[in-house]
Amino acid sequence: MTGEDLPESDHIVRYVKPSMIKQNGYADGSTFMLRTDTQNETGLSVNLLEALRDDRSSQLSRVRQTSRLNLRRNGRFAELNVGEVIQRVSDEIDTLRITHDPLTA
Amino acid sequence: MNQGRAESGVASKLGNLHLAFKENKPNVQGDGDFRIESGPFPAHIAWRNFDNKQSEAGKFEFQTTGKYLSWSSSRLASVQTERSDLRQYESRLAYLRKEAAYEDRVINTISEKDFRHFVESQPHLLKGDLVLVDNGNLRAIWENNQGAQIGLQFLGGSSVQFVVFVHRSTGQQITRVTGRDTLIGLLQIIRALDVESLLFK
Repeated sequence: MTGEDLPESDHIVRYVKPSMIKQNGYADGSTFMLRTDTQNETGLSVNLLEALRDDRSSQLSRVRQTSRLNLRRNGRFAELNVGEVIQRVSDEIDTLRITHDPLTA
Repeated sequence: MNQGRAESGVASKLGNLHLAFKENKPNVQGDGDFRIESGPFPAHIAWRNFDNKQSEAGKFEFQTTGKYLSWSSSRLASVQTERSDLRQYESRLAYLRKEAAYEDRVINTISEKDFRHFVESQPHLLKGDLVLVDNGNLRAIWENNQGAQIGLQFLGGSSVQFVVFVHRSTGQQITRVTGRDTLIGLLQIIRALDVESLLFK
């Protein structure tokens, strides 16, 4: 399973810090860019909702409970469908992969 | 000067330019500089006083008429109106600064300086959105309901990293143009991409 591409039907969420949420409430695209000040960063961390076998509301609740990030009340989770992301990004880049690579507990 | 219309050796009236300064002395006092303010409107030269109180700022406009250069000056009121756009961002900047502190980081000083200069130098600039990138740089975004967007990350040193999403023709997918340029070079790119209406009134 580790290292395999996620199914297109799966959903991922990425935490968006308050400072990267536009005033219209949407996440700025830069939140999905690799950090230039972190040379070893080769991917973005996300949470896989389908790894939590429950309804969507409960899945998000579990993500909040187990997140290692400093979640802020005015932060947001951006939810994305794997297949839709691959399709849209492929217009520009065909090397994007969304893979299963869980962090150690 | 008017864009692309400066001609060497013909501005004979420039010899009297010092009289304009003398006659309109209240408009040009203290430390400051002349800046060429460009945009979709005829470029003009404006005097900007370094004093943030703007108590002695003035504005000169130069226009070419045939072979001659004429100028007019206006006093503080118009300059203050042009510089008021930055006030629209002050509360947002304060919010980003507060959020950055929670994240144990700060807004890069040189990025903020460039952002402020960009807003101040473009009096017809529409108000955009503002976020703080992970590296501490400010990023401003202008967008419309059709998906067109201009994103500018202020890198400092008068450089910006830009991302432009633009429709090439009705119904076609959006084209993305990215790059890095100076603030002045950026405006030329904006014109070339015909997306000025996203930025300017």
